[in-house]
Parts: sequence; C-alpha cells; structure tokens
Amino acid sequence: MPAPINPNDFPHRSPIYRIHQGLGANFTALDDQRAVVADYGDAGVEKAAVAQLALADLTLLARGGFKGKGCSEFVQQAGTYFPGFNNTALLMSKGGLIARLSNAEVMTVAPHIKAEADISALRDVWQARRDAGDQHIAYLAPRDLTHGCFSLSGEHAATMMAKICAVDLRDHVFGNLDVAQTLAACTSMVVIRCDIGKTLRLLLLFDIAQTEYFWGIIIDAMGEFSGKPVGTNAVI
Amino acid sequence: MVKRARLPGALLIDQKQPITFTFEGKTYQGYAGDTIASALAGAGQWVLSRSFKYHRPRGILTMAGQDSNTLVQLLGMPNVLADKTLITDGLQVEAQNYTGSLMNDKEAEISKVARFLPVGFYYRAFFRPKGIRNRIWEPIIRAKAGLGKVDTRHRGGYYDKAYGHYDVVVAGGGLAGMSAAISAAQHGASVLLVDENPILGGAMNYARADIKGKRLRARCAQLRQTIAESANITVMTDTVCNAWYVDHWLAVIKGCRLHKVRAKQFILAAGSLEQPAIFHNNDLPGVMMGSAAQRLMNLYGILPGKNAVVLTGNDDGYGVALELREAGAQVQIIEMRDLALAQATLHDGCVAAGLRIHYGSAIYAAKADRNMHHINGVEFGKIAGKGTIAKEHQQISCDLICMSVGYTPTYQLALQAGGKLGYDDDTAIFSIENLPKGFHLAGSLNGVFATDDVQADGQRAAAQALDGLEITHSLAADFLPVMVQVNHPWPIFEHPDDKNFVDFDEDLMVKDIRNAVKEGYNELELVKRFSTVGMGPSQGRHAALNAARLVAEATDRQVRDVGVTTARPPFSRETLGVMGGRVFSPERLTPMHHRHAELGGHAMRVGAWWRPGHYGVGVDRVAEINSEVRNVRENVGLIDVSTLGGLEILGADAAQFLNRVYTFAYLKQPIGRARYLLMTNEAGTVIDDGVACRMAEDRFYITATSSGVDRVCRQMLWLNAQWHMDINIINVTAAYGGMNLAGPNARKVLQKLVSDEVDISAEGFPYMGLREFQVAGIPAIVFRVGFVGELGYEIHVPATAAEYVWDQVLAVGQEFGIQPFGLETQRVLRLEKGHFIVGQDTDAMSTAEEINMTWAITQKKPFFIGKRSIELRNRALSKRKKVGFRLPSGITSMPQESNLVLKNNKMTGFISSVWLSPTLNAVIGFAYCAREDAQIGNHITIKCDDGTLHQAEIISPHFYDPDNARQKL
Repeated sequence: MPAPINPNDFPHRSPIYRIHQGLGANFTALDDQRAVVADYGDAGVEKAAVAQLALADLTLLARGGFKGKGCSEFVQQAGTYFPGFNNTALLMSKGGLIARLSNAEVMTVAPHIKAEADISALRDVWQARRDAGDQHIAYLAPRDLTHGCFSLSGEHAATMMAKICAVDLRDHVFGNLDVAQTLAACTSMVVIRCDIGKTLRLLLLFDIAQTEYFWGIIIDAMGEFSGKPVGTNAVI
Repeated sequence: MVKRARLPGALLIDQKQPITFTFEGKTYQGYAGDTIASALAGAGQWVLSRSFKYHRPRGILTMAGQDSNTLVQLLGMPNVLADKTLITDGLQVEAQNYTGSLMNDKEAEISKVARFLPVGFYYRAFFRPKGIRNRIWEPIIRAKAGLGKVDTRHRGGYYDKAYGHYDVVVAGGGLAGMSAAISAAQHGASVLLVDENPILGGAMNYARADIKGKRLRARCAQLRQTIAESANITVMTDTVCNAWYVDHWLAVIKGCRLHKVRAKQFILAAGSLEQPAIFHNNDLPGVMMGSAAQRLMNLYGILPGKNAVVLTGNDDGYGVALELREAGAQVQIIEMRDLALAQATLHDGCVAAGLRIHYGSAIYAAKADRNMHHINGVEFGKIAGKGTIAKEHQQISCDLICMSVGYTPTYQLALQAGGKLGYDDDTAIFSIENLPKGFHLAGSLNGVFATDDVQADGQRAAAQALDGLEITHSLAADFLPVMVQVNHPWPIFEHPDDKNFVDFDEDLMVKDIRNAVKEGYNELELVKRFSTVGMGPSQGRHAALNAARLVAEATDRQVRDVGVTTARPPFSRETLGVMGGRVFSPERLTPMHHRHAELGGHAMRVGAWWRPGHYGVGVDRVAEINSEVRNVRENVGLIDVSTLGGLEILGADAAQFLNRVYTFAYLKQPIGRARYLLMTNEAGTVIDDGVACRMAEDRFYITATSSGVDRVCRQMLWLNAQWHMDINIINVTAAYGGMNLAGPNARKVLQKLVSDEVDISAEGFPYMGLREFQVAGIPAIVFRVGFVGELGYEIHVPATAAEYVWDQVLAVGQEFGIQPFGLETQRVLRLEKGHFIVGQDTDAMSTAEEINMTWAITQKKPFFIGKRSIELRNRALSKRKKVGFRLPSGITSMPQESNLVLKNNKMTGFISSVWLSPTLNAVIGFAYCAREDAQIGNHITIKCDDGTLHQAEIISPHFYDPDNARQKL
C-alpha cells in the first residue's frame, strides 16, 4: 500500500492544506509540484453530496488570464472562441473555462483536473507568440496566483450563496456559463456557473489571501443545508 | 402546577406534548405550540405585566403580538412578546416593570396621584430649581424608564442575513394574500408569501363568517393545499415584512435572519388591526379584543371567560359571541348600534341561540376586583348621544369583555411607501391612495371585508401585479365589492373617574389627549410629541384612530383632516442582532502565516492582514525585538513581506504612466533596475511609497504600502479612465509571497538556493538591481533593497510556493545564524537607518519637503499628480519640519510615539517614531518640530506620558550607516 501523500512534500500548496489535513483528506499528486485533495474518505458520499451541497478547493488547479489590447483577437487566433458578451463564459475542448470579464480581459479556469490542459495550451500559445516578438496579444494575468478557487455545487448552492451574496444566482436567473463579478461576505469575487452534468455548480474565485477566511464562511453557511467539503474527484 | 383542560380542536397546540416553564418563579404547564401568554391564560394567570406609568395590571389584549401588554422578560432578552413567543421546556419568564411582585406592585400606588402627573408634565418638571435635574431627577427617571433589563453579558444567538429575489412578494397570508399568491403563481410569477403567524390563513383560522363556523375553515384548507402544491410559491410563516424601501426592497425578518428581498411587484394583504373601545377600566385583564378571544379559543383551546360580555359595533361581534357560546360560556351582547343596523346572518344566529342582546347601548365602566387583577362585571347603559350614556345603568357580572367595535387597516408599510391614508367620517371607512408603482393592496386593508370579495380582491391585486410584470392573464382587473361598515364611528365614552385609556402603552387617557389640545397642540403630530401618544412599543396601532377622533373633535374638524401620524420603518420591533446580522470581517493571511505561529510569532493586525510583530516566548517584548535587530545587524534575518502591495503595470505607456503618477522619473529607468517610488496627492501631500521594478520595456512590477495598495490601485484605475493610456493594471499583491532576506550573511544564504549560473555578487547583482531567477527551484523576482540598512534581497515567489521557499531559506540559513524577524523589529531597523514609513511618520499634511524627501521629486517633469501644489506649498513653507533626534541612554521615562514636542509650553510638533536603539545604545526617533528649531545641534523639548520633559538633540536622521556602505555590500 503506497504511503499517503503529504502536501508538505510538494512546493506548491493550497493556502488551506492544513484544514484539509485536519479533515482527514486523502491527497493526490497532480505533478511533482502540487498535490490536491482527492477525497476526505468516502468518495461515494462525496459524489452524493455534490448533488446536494458540496464545497471543493480547486485553488491549486490551473488558471490564467489575458488582459489588454488584442485579447479577443489572441484568444480567437489561438483556436478558442471569445465569449460573445461580458460576464459570460465558454467551455474549451477539455472542459476548461474561458470567462470574459471585460472587452479586453478573460480569465481561464480549470474546473477539474483534466481541464488543466486547456489552460496550459492557451498559455503556451501566448508565450510562444510573445517570445516571437508579438506584442499585440494582451498580457498574462496570473489568476492562478491572485485568486483562490472553490467549487460550490448542488441544489442548495444558490440558496446558500444568497446568505452571503446579493446577486441572484438561482438556476433560472443565473444560467450555466454566466459570470458575475460581485462581492460575497465582503470579499470581491468572480462567480462562474459551470454545471457538473445536470447539477448546478458555481466556481468562486476570490483573493487568494482570503482563502482560509472564505472557506470558513462557506462551511458555516453550508451548515443549515448539511453541506460537505468534497475532494476534486467528486467534482469531475 | 396549575393545569386546566383545553377546548378541543385547537389549531396550534399539541396537547400530547406538555411543556413546563416558569413565570415569576412559579411553574406552569402548557403544550407544544403554546405561546407564553396562551399557556399562562390556560393556567388561569391573566395578569402579564404592569403598565408603564400607573403600574396597572395588564393582560391579553390582541393575542396577536400587536400590543405592549404582553411584554415580558426572558433570560438575557427583555421586552419579548408573550403572545408571540412559544414556550419551551425550562423557559424562565419574568414580568416587567414592577416593584415587589407582579401581583402586588408597590408602585401601583402612583395611580392615586395621577392628577399630579398630567399629560406632558415632564416637560415642565425636573429642571427647576437649577441643578436638581442631574442630582435628583435623572437617577429616578433612569430607574423608571424602560421596561425590561438588558443583560450586557448575554451572548446572542446566531444572526445572519440572506438576499431574496421574487416577481411578487405578498405580505399577509390571510384569504386575500393567499388568493393573490395563488393567482400570481398560476400565471408563472415567482411568489414569496410572508405571514407573521405560524400557519397560513389569517382570520380564517379563528374568525367566523357563517353561523356554523365551517365556511372559512374549509376555504382556508383548500387554499393551503393549493399553495403547498404550487412550485413557485415560497412560503415564510412566523415572518414579518418589517419595512418597505424604494423599488420594493423589503426587510423581511424570520427568526434570527433578515431577508433582504427585492420584489418586482408588492402586494400588501396584511389585514386589519382590531381597535379598542374606550370606557372606564378598559385596560384591565379580562378586557380584550373580540379577535383575541377567538384566537384563544380556536388556536389555543382556551376559553377566555365563563361569563362573557361582547361589546360590538359591527357584525363580527356576533361571531365572537357564537364562538364563546359554543365553547360553553354564558354570553350577553351589548350592541352599540340600533336593531335596524344589526341584521346580519351572525346576528340571527345569536338570536336563535338565545343570547341576550342590549341594542343601542355601550359600556360605561368595567368593574374589577379590589386589586384590579381581573374584571368581574360591567356597567352599561343606553347611548344617549355621541360619547354619552344615559344615567340609567345596568350591571352584568362577567369575567370577560370582548370589544368588537372596528378596525384600522394595517397601513404601516403602505404609508412607508408614501401612501396616504384617507378616512370617511360619514362611513368610518378607511382608504389608502397614492401608492408607488408596483405596490398593490388586497383584502380588508383595501376596505374589502365580505369573504367572497376578499378572495376576489386578492385576485384583482394579482392581476395588477401580473400587469406590472407584463404577464398575460385572464384575471378580472376590477370588481365592485359589497360595502361593509366595520367601524363604529365613536366608541369612546367618558367617565368621571377617568381610567378610560386611549393609549395602553403610555397610560394616556381621554382627558390627556384633550388637555394636550387645550395646551395648544392642535395637530396630531404635535399631540403625539407632547403626550407621547403612539410612541410606545405598539407604535399607535390601537391608539392612533381614537386619538385622531379626539383631536378632530377637540379642534372641530373631521378625522380625515387630522390624519394619522407618520409611519416609518420598522413596522414592528427588530433586535440589534437582526440588524447586525452575521459580521463579516475579512482576514488576509500570508502564505507563511501558519509558519509564523509555529515559530512563536506574535500576530498583530495590519489592516486586513495578520503579521508577526516579533517572535519569542513573549516574556520581554522589547528584549525579543532587540535580539532580532542585533541578529539582522550581525548575521542575517528573514521577514515575511507578503503584505507589501504589488501591482503590475503593463503596456506601451507603462513608464509614462508611472511618470505621471509618481514624483520620480521612470522613462529612462533601465530594465533590471529598481527605483524608489513616492506618491503625492493633488494637494502635494505624501500618501504612499514603494519600489518600481522594471521587468521589461512595457512591464513594471511595483510595490506599494500594505495598507495603501488598494487605494493606489483604485486611484490608478480612476486616473487612466481619464487618461486612456495604453496600460493595464493588475493587483498582484496576494499573488506573490514576499520575504526580505537581510543582513551581512544574506548573500551567503541566497547563494545556497540559486544555481551556479546566477550571479548574485555585488557587481553582478548590485544594490537596487532586479533579477528573475529560481530560488530553491521556484521562479522568483528578486531585487536588492536596503529598507533595514543591510545587504538585502527581497524575494517574491508565487504565493502557493512561498511557504516552501520560506522553509528552504530558513533551513539553509541555519549555519549563518538566520532568524525570522517581525514587523516591529523591521520598524526599529528602518528607524536606525533613517527610513520613514508613510502613515506613521507622515500625516494628512506632510509634504516631501517637510520629511526631507525632495530628492525623490523630479522637477524636470512637466506633470505629475501633486506637482503644482508642491510648487505652491514650497513658496510658503509650513511651520514644521521632520527631524531626527537623540536622547541619552539611561533616561527613566521613555518617550512614546505621539508624545508632544513643546516650545515655551506650546505644542510645535510630535514624535512619530522612537526606540531605544540596541545598535546605537541611545534613544532615537523622528519628530516634527518648529521649522526654525530644525537645525542639527539644536535641542527640542519632548514631553513624556508622565509629564517628564526631555531635551532631545537634533541629529541627522540617518542614524546608522549614513554612507549606505552596508546595504551596498
């Protein structure tokens, strides 16, 4: 039986890896740099929780962003659609999200591990063109570093979010792949709806320095709905 | 323990679940679903409180949480409504506002001197002779004021808030509200239906519209079932819509949660509030609204009296009488109207039941036992004219008087929205007009009382709401309701012994209102302020109409001309906990936060951040700080600077942008070099500083103060919204974990963490140089700065890897004596070096000239923010100047930051930084002093906290290593 994976053995760590350890998390290595929570013990229970109310820490998964002149052109030339409207998102081929925050800014997010390929591919294209001297392809925005990322899923997710956020995130109002740039629990936040199958799921992106604060807020808010923390395996 | 049988079929209680609680130390038993008041009534305890002024016994009046008679004290919570608060096992309830005991209140004697306490007496008392108010009256008034006791040690429950969004919100879950909700929902609208009671139905749950009393119950059950099956109706019971704000923003309170609800359309169907009649002793236990008696019987199974008198001025009183009769009471009816006006079905039912009806009569006085704990009879007579009763009186022995003489609409939310209340003095019917768009009324609140009409009125309101939502429907938009007169025009009868109460909260009698008018307060708003009518906990719910009638009569006007007092939010009481909700206090943690705790760091809050001030066991803070200072000076230290603001300025105009925003020059700043940043505002005042690292021609990574970076970022975004320069600004403060490796051994430590190809020698990586290379295998931005006055490397790495790098640096630094140091230590180090801190050594007026930073201002630039102001301020320099000072070691009284600098005993400045330097063995500091004194070698006078005066010598502020040799190593 292989030794359990310790996130301390990897250089990149979620700001709340100690909380995960305290909850008895089982970690899985993404590469030699990162280990994320696979589950907290009972994967079956976590799968079921995802449909009710579940919180997963995706902070260590790949993200990125492009900002500035040439942003939309670059994205489209790279073979990806540029979302047609601000505050909407599109899915890339492997499940990565590209969310349009303004006319000249997008954020890319991997909502699950396999989708990381989309994020890195787009970044590689940018780097190659930049290295080739192309100055008109916007700038990298290090959203993997500036933002923490949680997945909040389940039928109670929107109702729970109503306790901390003024934006109406209910199913029939905030559609799949809609984006909201808002405040939740006095914290600036980007909310992207990215359903898991037919289950409503919200990706919450916030100041990475507030990851521990915000985890506590959501765990508290989930209490009345019996929400549970789940690992990344449950939100694929 | 007192236990009495309940009536069968009570809607809200479960007689299989007994619950035990105490009231005034005595144990009582009620049932699950009982309120405190119903459980006490069920046990025969009718006195619940004492009145505010005369300490008269008071009991159930409305049984609807709409009066102050039932305010009681719970542990840690005063002024709880006993007729709304459910009992729980072990609940301890106390009465309020008495001296001695509730049943024997010593202060009730005050009633005997009532004539010396006329309305508004306090405006004329308590302040003469001069000085008596504070010494004599204030302690007495404070002791008498208020009702319950606040336990400041009590920890409240869990309060929070939630947002809600609905097409239609319906406030009031009675027949009209349920009808409106169903009609709106059936056409696709999302509906929130709010009701303050535990179950939907409103008056249908207790009132009677037909002789057999089954019609309303059956209709209610049918509507409840429809609502339960409706997917788009959200029902909140035990919930009050407490305020209306513009655009239908509604404060909806359920328990400990405030729902902040946005409604596209709002339907107010909150019903009506039954009003009291006014007669002698109309306030005593045993006198209650007819609807209160119906609630007690039908909701809680309690017979409120065995011998009842129903005083009625409308047809509803007959329903009350029938309920009482069926429950086993002996009932007589005193009908204020003539026989010709009382021909409704329910009247016929009473006649058929053999109840005795005294037409055209009114109550002259209620009789009570010696202690006035409960009424025991009624004295009544024929109405001889408006407000007068013929001299021939009759007596009835009774233990219950029910008043059914009229209603006022529950108009508060409508009036909050700007609605105007109308009143027809001829028909005694209310109306509400001038409502904002999207605000609709339904039911009795809208002047519709007949059962079928009420339901139709709910549908009509829904139709209007659907119109507002632009939803097609086939509902009737209008109909003509049957006119029902529910208000007797003058249910007020004077008595020579007064005690005929208009306002139960404030103990105001008929004569008080009349006297207020005689005093010259001839408008209701003025009467309110002078007499306090309507200013108690009930907020005039049962006083406003009768007070308006009395003012109208006294001023020879109509009630419609007098109007009612202004209604403002909230509609009913709300706790501070509900208003506060859950407090969100965002905290920001650096990636190394938990390492600091493990290393013994003493955390201090810096804005939203937590930072270690210093490390150690904490026995001697100063010694621990000084130890860290010495280690940086002699070996090497490591400080977490992740909180330092970080901004990326990207774009072709990046250098030009910085040139405009900061005072220094950046156009020619070489790539790979760092340069100091000083920011001034439009007034030329220093507001921030940092370092600009030029990473590429079009890319700067700049730092800002920890507490100032968000403001700096906002300012930059705002400026560029006007300038339209080709730049992008990204706040990357939290993206990087920063650490400053400082001390003579810093290079040796860093060398162990970088590859051999990286040249970090003094020549290859000089002071203010900037490099990007891997540290411990992690890509890093590294620049050489000298904030603490030693050889130093500021290392910025991705936040997710910062803890790892921190660990690696500490590990390899062991052989060189590395120790972490904290923020307080850094402040000492930079003071020794002579570096100022924005916000600590500057204030809202500090100019670069005052703080000796003119070297950081480039005069050649045509423009930067604050340039013009600096030029103007330099023409007429301020009267102060920042200086460095020194005191000899060994002084017994240590100066503190903010201590004053005096000259001829007048303040000329203050200390901004001070410490007994472990490196220089002297007390050094920065201070503002009079400009004319700011010469090296002069002395300034510093006044310590204990009054000690020190003569401080002004010296160069570059206390340590003035040639900068150590930081350039």
